[in-house]
Amino acid sequence: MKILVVDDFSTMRRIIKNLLQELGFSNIQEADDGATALPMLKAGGFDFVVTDWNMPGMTGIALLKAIRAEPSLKALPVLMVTAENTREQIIEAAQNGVNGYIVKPFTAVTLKEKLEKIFERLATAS
Amino acid sequence: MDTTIGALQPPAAPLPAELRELLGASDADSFERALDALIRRREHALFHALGKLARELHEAVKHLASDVESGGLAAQALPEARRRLGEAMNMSEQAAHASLDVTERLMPEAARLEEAASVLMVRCDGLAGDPLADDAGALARQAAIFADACREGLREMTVAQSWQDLTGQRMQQIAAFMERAEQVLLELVRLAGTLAGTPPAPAVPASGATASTQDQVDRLLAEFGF
Repeated sequence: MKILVVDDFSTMRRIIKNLLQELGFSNIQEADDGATALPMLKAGGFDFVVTDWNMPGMTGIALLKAIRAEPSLKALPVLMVTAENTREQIIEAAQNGVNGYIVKPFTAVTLKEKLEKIFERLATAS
Repeated sequence: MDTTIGALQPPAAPLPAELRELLGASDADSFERALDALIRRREHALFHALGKLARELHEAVKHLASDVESGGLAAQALPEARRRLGEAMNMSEQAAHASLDVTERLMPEAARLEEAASVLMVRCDGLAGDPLADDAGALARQAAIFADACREGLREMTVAQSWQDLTGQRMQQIAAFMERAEQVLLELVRLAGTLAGTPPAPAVPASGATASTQDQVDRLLAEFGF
């Protein structure tokens, strides 16, 4: 499974990458905002996206909307890992088809649980 | 004992002379004169307050402008503070990466130790009864437990580095706020300079006010730096 981790902070990208590797995912690439991520996703081959919300350039929510609007990407699972946790933001993400939402700071266990839940739901749906 | 409401109220303040004059006017001319006098009295208080406000604002902007000229707050201190904030962010990023370097280096070693210990445990189990194999098996079991605990601890250390992302985001927000404040201050100083170079607009319309009132107002405003 090929995963794209999108965050403007290099430390957070590295943390998520390490945790994903610990969970057995080895094919992980990185992007520092939505504008960098979108062409990478359009180029194809990615199976999963983990993105921050608050990034310069293109935000995570704008990236999510762009993914859902793109026919070749609209089914791509997206997990948001963000410090943004207002009710309005969570609702906005849900309405735009986010698959999971993790609030920073988070634990390795939370990441594992959310990933498992997403894959379970996807398996049931297909 | 007088218990009427009127008895509990404080004595009413006497009416100002202008108002008494206004109320007692016997014809249109004297009413107009009394009304003018009353309005002038009210205007005087208003312009006095406005003049005070204008002088205080003028002084504040003058201080700010001189501060900017001498390389103070807006010109140097704020950009310097932003630069330091940026440095702090870079240092925190480097520190977090240094910690992640360690966790990334040790994580596979802990995994290898756990794997080697497991293999040894199986081999020792096959030699049950041999005192050396029993001891080696016990040591291997301890090593496996230790390696597992290490991996768990290293995972926690990895996640703990997310403090850098969270504090960094706040620092970015503060730096952006400081930049906006700096721009507003500089704009204020620029605006104040522009205003200082142009004659002040008339404080009150020339028509509709008597010459003496306008003069009084001008003199009063001059006292406050208009």
